[in-house]
Amino acid sequence: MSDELRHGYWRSLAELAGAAGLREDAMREFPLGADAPPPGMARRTFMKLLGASAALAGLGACTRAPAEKILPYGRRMPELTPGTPLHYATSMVVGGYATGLLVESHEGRPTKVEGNPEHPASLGAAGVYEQASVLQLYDPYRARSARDGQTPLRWTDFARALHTMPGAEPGGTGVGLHFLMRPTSSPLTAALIGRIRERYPEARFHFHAPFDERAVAAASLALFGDVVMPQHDFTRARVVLALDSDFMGSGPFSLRYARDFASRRHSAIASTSGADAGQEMSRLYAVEGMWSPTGTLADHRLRVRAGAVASVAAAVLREVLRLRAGALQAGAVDAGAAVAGADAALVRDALAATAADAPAPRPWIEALARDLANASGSGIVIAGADQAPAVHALTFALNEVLGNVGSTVWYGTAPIFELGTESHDLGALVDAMRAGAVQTLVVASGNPVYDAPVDLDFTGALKSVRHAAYVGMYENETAAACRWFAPESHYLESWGDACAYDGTVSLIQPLIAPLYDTRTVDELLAVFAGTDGTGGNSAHGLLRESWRDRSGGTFEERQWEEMVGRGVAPDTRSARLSPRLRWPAFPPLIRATTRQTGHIELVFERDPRVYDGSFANNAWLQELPDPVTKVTWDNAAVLSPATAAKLNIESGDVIELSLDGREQRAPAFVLPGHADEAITIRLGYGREGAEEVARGIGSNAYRLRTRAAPYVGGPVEVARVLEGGRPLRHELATTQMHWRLQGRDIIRQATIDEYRRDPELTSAQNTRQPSLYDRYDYSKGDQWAMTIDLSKCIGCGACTVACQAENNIPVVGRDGVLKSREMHWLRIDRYFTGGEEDPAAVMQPMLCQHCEKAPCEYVCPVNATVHSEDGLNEMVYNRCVGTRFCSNNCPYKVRRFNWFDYNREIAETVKMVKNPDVTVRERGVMEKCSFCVQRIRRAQIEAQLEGRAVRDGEVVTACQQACPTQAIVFGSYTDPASSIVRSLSEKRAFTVLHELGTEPRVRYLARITNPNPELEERA
Amino acid sequence: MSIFSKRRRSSLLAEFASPEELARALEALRTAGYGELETYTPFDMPRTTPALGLRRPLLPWLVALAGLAGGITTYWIQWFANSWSYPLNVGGRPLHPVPAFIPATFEGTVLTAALVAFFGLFVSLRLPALWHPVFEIDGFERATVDRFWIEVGGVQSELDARQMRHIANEAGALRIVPLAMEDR
Amino acid sequence: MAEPARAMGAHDHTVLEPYPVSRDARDDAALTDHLLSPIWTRSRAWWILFTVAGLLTLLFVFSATWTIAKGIGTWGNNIPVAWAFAITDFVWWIGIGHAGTFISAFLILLAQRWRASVNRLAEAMTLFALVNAGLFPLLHLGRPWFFYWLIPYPSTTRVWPNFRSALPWDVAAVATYFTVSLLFWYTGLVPDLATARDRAPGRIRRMIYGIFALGWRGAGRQWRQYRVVYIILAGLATPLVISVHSVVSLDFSIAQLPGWHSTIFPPYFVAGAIYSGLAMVLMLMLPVRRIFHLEDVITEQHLDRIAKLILATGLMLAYSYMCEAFIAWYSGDHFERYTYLFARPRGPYAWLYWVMTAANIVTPQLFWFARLRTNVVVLFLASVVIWAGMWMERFVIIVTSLNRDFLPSSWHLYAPSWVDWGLLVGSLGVFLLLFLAFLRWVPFVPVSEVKRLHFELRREEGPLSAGHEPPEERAVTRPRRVEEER
Repeated sequence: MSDELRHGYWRSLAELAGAAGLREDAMREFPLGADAPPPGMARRTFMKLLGASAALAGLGACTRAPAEKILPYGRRMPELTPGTPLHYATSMVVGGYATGLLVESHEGRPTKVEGNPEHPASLGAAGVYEQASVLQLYDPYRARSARDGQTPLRWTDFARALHTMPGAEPGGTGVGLHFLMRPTSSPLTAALIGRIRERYPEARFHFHAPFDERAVAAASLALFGDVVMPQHDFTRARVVLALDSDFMGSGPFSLRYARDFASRRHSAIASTSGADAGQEMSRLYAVEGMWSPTGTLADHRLRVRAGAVASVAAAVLREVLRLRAGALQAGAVDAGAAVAGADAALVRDALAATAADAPAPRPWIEALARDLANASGSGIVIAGADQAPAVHALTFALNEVLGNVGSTVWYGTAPIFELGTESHDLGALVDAMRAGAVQTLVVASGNPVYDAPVDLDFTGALKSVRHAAYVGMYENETAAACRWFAPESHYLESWGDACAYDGTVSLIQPLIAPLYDTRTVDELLAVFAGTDGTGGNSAHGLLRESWRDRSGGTFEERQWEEMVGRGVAPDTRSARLSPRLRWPAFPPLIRATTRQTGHIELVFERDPRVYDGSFANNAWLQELPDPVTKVTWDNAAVLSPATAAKLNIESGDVIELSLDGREQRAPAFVLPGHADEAITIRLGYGREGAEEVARGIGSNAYRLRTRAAPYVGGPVEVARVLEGGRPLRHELATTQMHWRLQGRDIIRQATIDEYRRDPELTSAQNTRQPSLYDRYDYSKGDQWAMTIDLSKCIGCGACTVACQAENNIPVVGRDGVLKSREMHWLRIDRYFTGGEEDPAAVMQPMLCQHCEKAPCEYVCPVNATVHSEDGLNEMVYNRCVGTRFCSNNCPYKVRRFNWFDYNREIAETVKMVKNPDVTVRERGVMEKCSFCVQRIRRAQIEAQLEGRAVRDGEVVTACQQACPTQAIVFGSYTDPASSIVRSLSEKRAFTVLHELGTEPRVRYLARITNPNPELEERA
Repeated sequence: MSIFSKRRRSSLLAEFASPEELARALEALRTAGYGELETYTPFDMPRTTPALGLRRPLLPWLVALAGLAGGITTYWIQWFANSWSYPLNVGGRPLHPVPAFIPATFEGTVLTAALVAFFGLFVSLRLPALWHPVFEIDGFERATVDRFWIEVGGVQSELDARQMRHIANEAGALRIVPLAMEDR
Repeated sequence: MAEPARAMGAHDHTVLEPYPVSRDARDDAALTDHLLSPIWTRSRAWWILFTVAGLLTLLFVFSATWTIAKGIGTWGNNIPVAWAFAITDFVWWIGIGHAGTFISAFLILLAQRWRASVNRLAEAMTLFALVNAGLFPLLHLGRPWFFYWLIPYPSTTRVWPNFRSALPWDVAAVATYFTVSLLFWYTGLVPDLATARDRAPGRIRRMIYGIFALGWRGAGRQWRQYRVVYIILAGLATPLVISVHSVVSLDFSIAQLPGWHSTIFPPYFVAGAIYSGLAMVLMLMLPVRRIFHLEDVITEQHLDRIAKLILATGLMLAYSYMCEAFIAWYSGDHFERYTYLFARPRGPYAWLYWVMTAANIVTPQLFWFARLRTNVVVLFLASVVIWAGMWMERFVIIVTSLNRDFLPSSWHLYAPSWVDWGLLVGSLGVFLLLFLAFLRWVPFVPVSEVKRLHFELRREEGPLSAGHEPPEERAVTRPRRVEEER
């Protein structure tokens, strides 16, 4: 082994030293990559070698705690008991905002990410990116060493090299020294930037991310004279209008919003079954072009392409104002809420102009407006960050007019550093580069070469910069274009801080010492901040320093420990502001909306799986099906059936999109319910860097994305690509081929009124079936059961990834998915109901139903799957011989088979992500959801030691823990007080395929919607 | 010298060209009171069997018993495995599912019966025995092709022998061959 | 002596039977040599065929090795279609096996004389088909090296097979079937091996056949015991013909999958099995008959009878098909209806379904016509079509039920990989290899039985053939011969 190690080690070094081309070739030898089954033998061996080198570099870290004192979650410091995992609070930053996490660590090895219940953005839930981030830590394709050209450097040498660069010399003024960073909300980073500016007055900072909030900032700057961020309280919202906003599925506070929205909805539904039909159920209107998780849950979804959202919003505001005016004459409401006299005319005209071609049926707008007006003060209008300033302006106005501001909506200072200022305009930097004003460019993380607006030609401009240094986690496109490169630490290796969307300062503490010679961005900045020239001082030191400064010296060790231990800095939430809306600024802002009609527009969206491309190398995320299209390992040009028919395109046809004279090919995907006259394409694919998993997957839509039209472009020309006269095809690996229910009673739904009228609507599907056999006694001890609330599930997929991480589920790669061999224990089935053009969508998480009369069990010839006393359908891996009869006889098809030896050939580093509590399965055996039996047994053992029964909520399955909307409830039904009993006894509970008499332990709660009676016939 | 002695018994074999002749000779010898008769024929001639004066075979009963035993054992194995030794809750099915045990039980019955029948056959015939005195008679190999032989055992005296020869020749024997063999 | 004569069933067939069961005029010696000649003579054609079969067998071995080395992933199977080609092949081969036992065991109990000349060939086919059938379930396991966990061997883990599952039944059924068929076949073979021994040119062959003949001498005592046991074995093998494919069908019908969960399966499968088997018997018999000039012992009567059986079993199959569809409709069950009335006739595999229906239901209808029943070419082509059609039937049953079951979300198509094809085609090679070896080294027409048949026929031709006077007692006059003395 050690031989092999040394070999691998030298080999990887040799590559670092070798020519770029050579390295590329070697890299291309890689298999599908981290955690994916390798196709060929040569690749496997190479994989081993590199994995081994990784092991030499980093495996030691298994038992290597960070040098500094890191603090476990909870009051006291428990000693580490081998076998008992510890949880540490930390935070992950996505799009500049922090989400608080608790990370499970086994003997100093982080394996699983959960949400931090005390963190406002999480409340205990963790999204897809957070769940999958732990795999990125162990990604064998992470950059391991700094370099100058092709010469490997130590990080310290790299830091020294930085100081020799023009503008960065110690004592210099910083002329020609430019920094390009991702937008940040970190107080520490801000402090460091401040110091650097003191030291180098001429140094310039620029912030760029492919997805930012500049539109919101612009609108709020114009209307409020200040950059403020709208904050929302969905627990008190009766009517919600989402203007192209996926507030539950993506965005900095989506986990929190999803939780709040769902909890209110649920309490309303639950209360109906009880005596009081009291609490009013919230109603959600969604206006969007492409399906978003939020849209799937909407009571009314208006299918409108992104470019036309502004006009719809205008139409709504116009209608609301009309109602208001009426109310005004009646003197019903205070004038303050409505538009002040003088501006009224201007506003009306502007609205008239904008709303002119609102592609929405008039009754729909009126009904919505009435609904919003009636819910005055308890409604929310929320706009997607990617929408134009006009839409945000309209949103601000709507909330203002509706009197929501102050109750359900308020404003807070923007946590993002210098948001809305010139420094957030990449164009300025590029101009400077062109002008030769940039001698030294330090790119701190991000990937501008890949994701900068194409018309800026950042790459071209970069050539004119003599000293370009890049610090990032991967040798990606940007790294390839920079002479100097240094690897960045993963957040689980980092000290730092960042703000949540509401301003709460969240601490980032490392779970493990850096696997390789890496540093954080803050440590990079510290090099220039010049506390000492070598960047020797750690982020840990810097962080404590900055906190001491902030607290004015009165900062004690105890406070620090408290704070780091909890992961949240107490009372740092930004104050509630209610800035006055300046109506005169309003008309020009909404007039500015460019309205295009009569052609096809191209909409650029962040990808729900790889975000902007920065998570593209994560095999878990690549294999996670898109919430609605269910496409894996690819992005596609999504369009509606009507548009597809008009263009004579079918799913899987490769089409060429030309926008402003630039072409890009992408496979088409026809999606019912997508807006007509529009094509949506996700960004973040078609990578060309050294991220071997991501390399060459999908189509790079950044090549069409311009500075002027970052989100909605058009007109776009669409042409099928022909090859030899035949249309060129690209098979998309989707996990679900059929989306009709075929008239099968798999999903129950009803409107709230129907449910109130007939609460028994599912009674036929939750009773026990007659049987010839007498039932086993399932009344004693723990009896595990689960409910899944279809009224809450938004299909985000967090549960799927959480399950994958918790249960060591392998990745099968694109080929595997194409062959329908995905291994996910928990999948989310997506069905459409209604017409193909404008259907409703419903999500149904499907996992092992743990049937009491399990069809899989009695057909197993070797007793490899049997029933436990506490009602689990147990899978005995080491008894299984792999006849696959069980899968054939499982009506839910939730059993998975190890077609190959998925776990043998994975890199050493990736082995570190495996959960030691869960068997890693061999080739040729079946596997399936176990209700996280490892967690159940751990809890039972603890309970037994303490001589008590397992408490309600003590066992939390991975999926349940991750679910933002808490759609999943789990527990033992023998405890009458438990939440599972409450949930099971809800009238709308039903079992899928009840007629088969399988007696599942998983029950679904019928989906209850709350359509507007005025529009019901449309719903 | 005489072929007759105390320790050794001799028999005479007669070769015939057709089954009919064999049948006739056999009848004649039987009526003449020769007890120890045996035939060697290329194919089965059930009608000649009674003349050999054999007891009814035991084997069928043996086979029946074996089958019964096999069946019971198979059922017991299944009951022991699934209902007694390691009872498991399998899909909520009963611990002693009688119908499920029937197919294997049936197969077990047939298998044991068949094995006993097969081996019983060769054991009862004392086969395999690659050598037998009759093989020493040259020309006897045609007994499996187109020649039909009668063996008359226990010929004690010249008189017997002469009479036997006479009957055989009457029936059209091609030749008559004396054979001395170890007392069985 | 009259009773035994009747018991022999030696009554007149000419009224019902247009064709003689044999028209061979040779005397016993000549007949013996004629029937044994194939195992003494070499032919180039045989070697060529043998090489081809060998190559195909290598293909099988390679595909099997590949599967075991890399995993089931090398096949086209997926979730939901976790069973496909391999199980199809298994059921198909087992089905083919049935005809052999049917002909040799069933017909002896029914005292059908025409079985005499063809039973051994048919039985050999059974054995070799079973060899293939046995291989597929093994290869099909995710971890084949643990196949023995399906057997209740005494184990310290005390974890036993689950006899509620149909698969252990399968193991028992197939194992029993193979063993019994082998014993039955060998028992029948012993007298002919003795003949071969006594006819063998050269010492080595005489020794080899001698060893296998176990010292058989055709003694009356031996024949009597032999007769008893042979009938017993036939009696035991006959219910196996019914039981084995019934058990195999239970592999499907104990599942609750629409398209599998059906009570008609056992009889339906048995009929189909014999049907396909008879087709293959013809496919093998017709060339053999021609090449080795056996038209005299394997006459039109044989062809005619087999053709009639094919027609009969074919009609049973047709009934089963219709019954299935009707019950699906009549049950009113949504899933049943979808599978039988939509997924199969109109689904993605519809073309296969219709080809199968045509092949299995239309083809046998030819045999309503007497002339076609004895037309060698028609018989051969028809049996090839049926033989292939029955493979498709199993594929349709297995795959079209799995690929669209209860939840539309999990529906997915199945496409075989080259390994799947390799195993299927390779298994044909394995079969051919064994069968050619059999033709080359084993007397494949039962010599003694045919001779006996001729003896009976000769008797019947005699004037007093009514049976009240056993022909043995007819006077035979011969010149007396001088007895020889030593």
